[in-house]
Amino acid sequence: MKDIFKIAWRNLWRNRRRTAITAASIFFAIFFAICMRSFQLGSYDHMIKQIIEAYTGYLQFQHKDYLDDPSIDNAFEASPELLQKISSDPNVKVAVPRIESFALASTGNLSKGVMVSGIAPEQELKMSNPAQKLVHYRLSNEAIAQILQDKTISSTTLEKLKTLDDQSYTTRSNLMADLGLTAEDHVLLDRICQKTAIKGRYLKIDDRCVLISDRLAKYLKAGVGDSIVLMGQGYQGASAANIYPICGIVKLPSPELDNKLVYMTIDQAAELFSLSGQVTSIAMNLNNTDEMRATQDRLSRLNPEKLSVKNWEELNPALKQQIQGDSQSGQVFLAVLYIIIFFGIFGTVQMMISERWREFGMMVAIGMKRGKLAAIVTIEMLFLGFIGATSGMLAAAPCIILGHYHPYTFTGDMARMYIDMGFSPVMPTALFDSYFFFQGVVIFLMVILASYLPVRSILKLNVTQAIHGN
Amino acid sequence: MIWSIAWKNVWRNRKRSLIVITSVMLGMTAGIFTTGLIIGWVDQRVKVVIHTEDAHIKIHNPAYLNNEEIGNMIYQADAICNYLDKKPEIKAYSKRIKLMTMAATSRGNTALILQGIDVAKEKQVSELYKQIIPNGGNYFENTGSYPIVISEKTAEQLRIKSYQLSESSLDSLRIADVPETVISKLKPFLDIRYNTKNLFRKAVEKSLGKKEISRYGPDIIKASEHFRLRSKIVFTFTDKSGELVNQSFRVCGIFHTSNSMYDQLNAFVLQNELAQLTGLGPGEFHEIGILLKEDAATKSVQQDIKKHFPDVSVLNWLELAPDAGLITNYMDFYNYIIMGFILFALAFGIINTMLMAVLERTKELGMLMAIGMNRIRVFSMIMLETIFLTLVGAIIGMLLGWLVVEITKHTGLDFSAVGEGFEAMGWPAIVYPRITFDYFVGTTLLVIGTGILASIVPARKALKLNPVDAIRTDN
Amino acid sequence: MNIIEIKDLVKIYSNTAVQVTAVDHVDLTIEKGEFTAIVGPSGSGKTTLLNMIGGLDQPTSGQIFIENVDITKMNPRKLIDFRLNNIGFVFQSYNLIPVLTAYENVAFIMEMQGASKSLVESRTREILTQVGLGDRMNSRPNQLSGGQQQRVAVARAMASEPKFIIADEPTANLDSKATAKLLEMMEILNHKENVTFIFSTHDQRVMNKAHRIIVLEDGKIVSDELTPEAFKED
Repeated sequence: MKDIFKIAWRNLWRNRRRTAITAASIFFAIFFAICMRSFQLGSYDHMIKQIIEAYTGYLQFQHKDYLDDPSIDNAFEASPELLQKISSDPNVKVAVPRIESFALASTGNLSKGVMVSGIAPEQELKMSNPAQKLVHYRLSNEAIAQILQDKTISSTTLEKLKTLDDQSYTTRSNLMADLGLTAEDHVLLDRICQKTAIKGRYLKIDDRCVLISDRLAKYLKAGVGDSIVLMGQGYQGASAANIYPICGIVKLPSPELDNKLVYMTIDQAAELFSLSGQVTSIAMNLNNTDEMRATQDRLSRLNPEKLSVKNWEELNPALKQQIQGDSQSGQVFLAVLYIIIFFGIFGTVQMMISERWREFGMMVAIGMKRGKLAAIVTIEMLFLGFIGATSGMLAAAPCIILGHYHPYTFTGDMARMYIDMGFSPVMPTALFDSYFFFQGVVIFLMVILASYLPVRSILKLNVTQAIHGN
Repeated sequence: MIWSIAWKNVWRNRKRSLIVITSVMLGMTAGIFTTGLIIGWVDQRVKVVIHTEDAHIKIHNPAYLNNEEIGNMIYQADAICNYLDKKPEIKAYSKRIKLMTMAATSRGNTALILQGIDVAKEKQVSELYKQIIPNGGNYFENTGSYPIVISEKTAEQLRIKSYQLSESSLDSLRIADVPETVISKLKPFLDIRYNTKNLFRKAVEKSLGKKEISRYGPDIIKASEHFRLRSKIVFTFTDKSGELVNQSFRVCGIFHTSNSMYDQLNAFVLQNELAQLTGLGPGEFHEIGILLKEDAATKSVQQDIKKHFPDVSVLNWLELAPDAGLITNYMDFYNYIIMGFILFALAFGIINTMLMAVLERTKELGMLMAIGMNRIRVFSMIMLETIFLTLVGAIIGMLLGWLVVEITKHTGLDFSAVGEGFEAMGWPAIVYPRITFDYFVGTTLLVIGTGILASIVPARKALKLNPVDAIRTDN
Repeated sequence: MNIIEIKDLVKIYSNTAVQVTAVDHVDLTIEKGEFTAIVGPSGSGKTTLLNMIGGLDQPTSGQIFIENVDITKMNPRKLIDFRLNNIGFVFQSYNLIPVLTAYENVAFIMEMQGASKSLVESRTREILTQVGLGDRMNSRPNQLSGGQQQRVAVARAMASEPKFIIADEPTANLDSKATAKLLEMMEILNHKENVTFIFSTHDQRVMNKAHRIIVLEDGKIVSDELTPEAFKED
C-alpha cells in the first residue's frame, strides 16, 4: 500500500511544469476564496459590531407586542430580580434597562422629532458608552473666527481650519489628525483646543440634565448650558412635557441616530413618560456572540408570559438581509470560480493520462493491475490538490492576520461614503473559522470529482492499443 | 498562412480543446451576466435617484444644507426661475417648501419632512405620482382640505396600515389562483382588523397547513393590506416666526419607492396650504428640483446656473446621492476587474493545454525552425493558436451571456427574498440586466490580452527547442 | 562552380568527462548540380556533418562557405533566414505540417519568403505536378502514402529555390517501390532543373543512384569517388 503513495508522489515530479501550473491554479483559487470570504465576513462582523454592539445590543428583552407596536404603552416591569437573573447568565456581558420613546424637542424657534433614550448611566457605560462619544472640541464659526486672528498660525493650517467649520471632535487626537498636525505641534494644538473646547460632561445618576446628539445640537442651535423642551405622549395617554438643561453633546457614528438622540437618566425618562418601574427594553451585549441563539433560548425561559427575547436579526431585519444578500452574491461568484478551476483540473488529468497512455499500457502488460494504476493516478491528483490547497491556505493566513489587526483603511471618496453611512472606513478580515477549512474541503471534493471520469478510463485500458498507439 | 495554421492547430486534439473552450465559455457567460446585472442595478438606482428622489439638479440656499431651518429660503428665487424658464436643456422644474415636522396619530408617531409641492409642476419632475400603491388612494386628485401623500413605511409607523381580509381581498386571491379550499379557511377572518403583520399572520397561520402557508402566505398578506385612507395625522412644527403650529392632514394617497430611507422621511402636501400655515410668502421656497431633457447635460447646466447665481448651492444628483454617484463612476472599473479575475482563473487551464500542445509537437516545431521559420513566426503561431483557442470559447460565452441578459432584461430578476435589505440601502429588489456593446469590445480585448499572456510560457518552451535535437531520429 | 566549400571542419562534443570528435578536420567542396551521397556507419559523423552544412549546428572550428558566404560566422537569427532562402531540407520523417494539405505545405514556404500570390500559385502547381502529385494537391499528409509524403517534402524543399537540398535518410521509412519512385523523381529534378542534392544515407538503393559517394569513418573522409552513374547520359 505504501508504495502506491511513493510512486504517486514521484510521478508528480516527473512533469514539474504541469504539476506546478495545476497546483498554482488551485493555490490561486483557494487563496482568493479565503481572502474574499475573510474580507466579507470581517466586514459583516464589523458592521454588526458598529451598529448592533454600539447601541441596539445582540439581544433585547421586550414586551411581546413591542416589536410590532413600539409604543410606550408596551412597556413592561423590570424587577430587580429579573435584571439580576439576566446579568448572572454566563454569556451576558452587560444588560441595561432602557426607556425609549419619541418626543418633540424644541429650543426657541426650532423644533424637531427626537428619540428620547432613558439610560442607567453607570451601566450604559459598558454598553453603548456615550461617555466616549462626548464632544470636547467644536470648531464653531465663532471659534474659527477667533483662531484666524492669531497671526502665528501657518496658512496651511488656517486653510484646513476653514474646511472643517462646524465639525465636532471627541478627542484631541482626532482634531490633531484632521488638522494634519503631529505631536510636535502641541503648542499650536493647545491654543486651538483652548479656543474650541466645550464644557460637556456625562450623565450622573441623579441628573436632571440631558445629553443631545451632535447633529441635533447643530440643528436646534443648542449648546451645553442651554435648555431644551421635550414634549410627547406618555404611558396610557398621559401627556409628557418638560424642560431640561443640556449638560453634554455626544457624537454618534450613525448619522441616523446622530440626528435625533437625546440621552437622559432612566429615572427622568420614567418621570417624563409617566412610567413607574417599567422600561421599554433591556438591551444586552454578549461575551460570545456565536452562542447568541442558545443564550436567547435560555433567557426566554426566564419570563415567558409577557416578555420575549429578540435577537438583533429580528430587531434589524434590514441589516440581516443586507448581509445575507451580499454574502450570497459572494458565494455565487466563488462558485463560478470553482467551476472554472474544476475544468482546469479535469483538463489536466485528461492530458496527463493521455500523455502516459503508452506507459500505462506497458505497466499493465508487465502485470500491474488496472485498479492499482487508477489508484496511483487518483492519489497523484489528490497530492496535487493537497499541495495547491495547503500552500493557498498558508499564504492566505498571514494576510488574514494582518488584515484583522491592521485593517485596510479607505481614503477619499470611499472613506467619506462609509463615514456618511455610519461606519468607520476600514475593511477588516475575519479570523480563522469554519469558512477557512470549508474551502479546503471543497477543493478536495472537486479534485475527486474532476478525476473520476478520466481515471475510470484507465480501468478499461486495452493493452495492445495502448502500446501501439491508435 | 500562420493564421490558418494556428486556427487549424486548435482542432488537432478536439477533446482537449473542447475542455478549455467549455471552461472559457462558462466563465465568460458568468462574467457577461454579472456585468449585465450590475449595470441593470445601477440603472435602476440612478433612475430612481433622478426621476423620483433628487432630479438632475437641486438648488438650495447654502445655509439650508447645514441647517434645515424654515428661515433658510432661496434668495432670488424669482430671478432664478426666470433664468430656468429660458434654459432649453431644462425639461421642467419644481419649487418646494420643506419642513421638519413631527407626525402623530393616536397609535404612533414619527419624524417627517413635509414637502409642500405644486402638484402639476411636481408631476413633471418626479415620477413619484406613478408609485401610488394599489388600494393606496391617489395623488392629490381629491378635493378636500389638507390632503397628504405618505409612504407605505410611514403608514406602517403611524399604524395607518392594518391587515384585514375583505370580500375583495378574497376575490383577488381567487384571481391569483389560490385554491378554494384555502380561501374557505380564511372566511372566518373576514373583516377582522389586525394592527400588525405579525398579529395577522399568527392568527391566520393557526388555520392553515404548513405547505399552504409557504405557498400562499405572501399572497394572503398582500391581499389583506388595508390602508385607512382619509385618516388624520397631526403634524407639529414651527412656523416662520418661531411659533409652534399643530395641523392635522388627511391621508390622500400612499406611495412606495424602492428606497426605504427616502420613504421613511418624506411626505407631500399642497404648497399653498403649507405656505399659509407657516407664514411663508409666495416667492419663498427651500428647494428647486430640476429635470433635464438629457442626463448628459447635467454637469454643464449645473455650471451655467452656478455662474449666474454664485450665491446659491447648486448640486447635481451625483453629489446629492453619493452612493449612486460613486457606483456610477466606478462601475466600469468594477466590471472589468470581475472579468479580469475570471480570465485569470481560466489562464491556468489555457497555459497547461497549450504547453502540452507544444510538447507533443517538438519534432514538427524542430522541422519548421530547420526549414527557416524564424522566432517571431514561431512565437506568433503559438500565440495565435492560444488566442484562437481562448476566443472561440469566449465568443460563444459572450453570445450566451448576451442571450441570458436579453431574456432577463424583459422578465426582470426578482431578489425580493432579500429585498428588504436592498431597499433599506435604497436599491431596488427587481433588476433588469442590461449590457452595452462597448463591454463586448472591452471583454474581447481582455480575452485577446489573456491569450497573449498565456501564450508566453508555451511559446518560450517552443523557442528553446534546438532543431537538431528535435529532428533527431532515434535510429 | 562551388556551391559549398568546407575548410578544416571540426566538431567536438564534450559531455561530462568524455570528449567525442564527431567531425575530424574535414575538407570538402560540392559543385552545382551534384547528386551526392554521404555514407558511413552509425557514429561516423555524417549526420553531424550534414547538420553543419545545413546551418543547423555550429562547428567547433573550421569554415563552411556557401556560395562564398561563411555561415559559421553568421548570427543565429540571420542563419534562419539564410536557411529559408538558400537551403532545402528533406528529413526522414515529420516533414510536413499535418494540418495543411500538400498544396498548402508547399505554398507555405514561398509565403514565408514573401512571394506574390500569383507566383505562389503557379509555382506550387508546377512543382507538385513535377513530383507526380498534381492530382493529390488537396490531400492532407495522413491521406497520402509514405512515399507520396516524401515527394511532397521534396516539392516543398524545391519550392523555395534553394542553392541545394539536404536529404537526411529520406528513404529510411519507405518500401522499395516508393524508394524507387522517389529516387527517380529526384534524379529527374537533378537532371532537368540542375537541383543539387546531398544525401546522408546507408540505404544501398540510394547509393546505387548517387553520382558521387563520400564515405565517412570516425569523422574523417576515407573515400570520395564518382560513380558510374555520374557518367551516364540521359
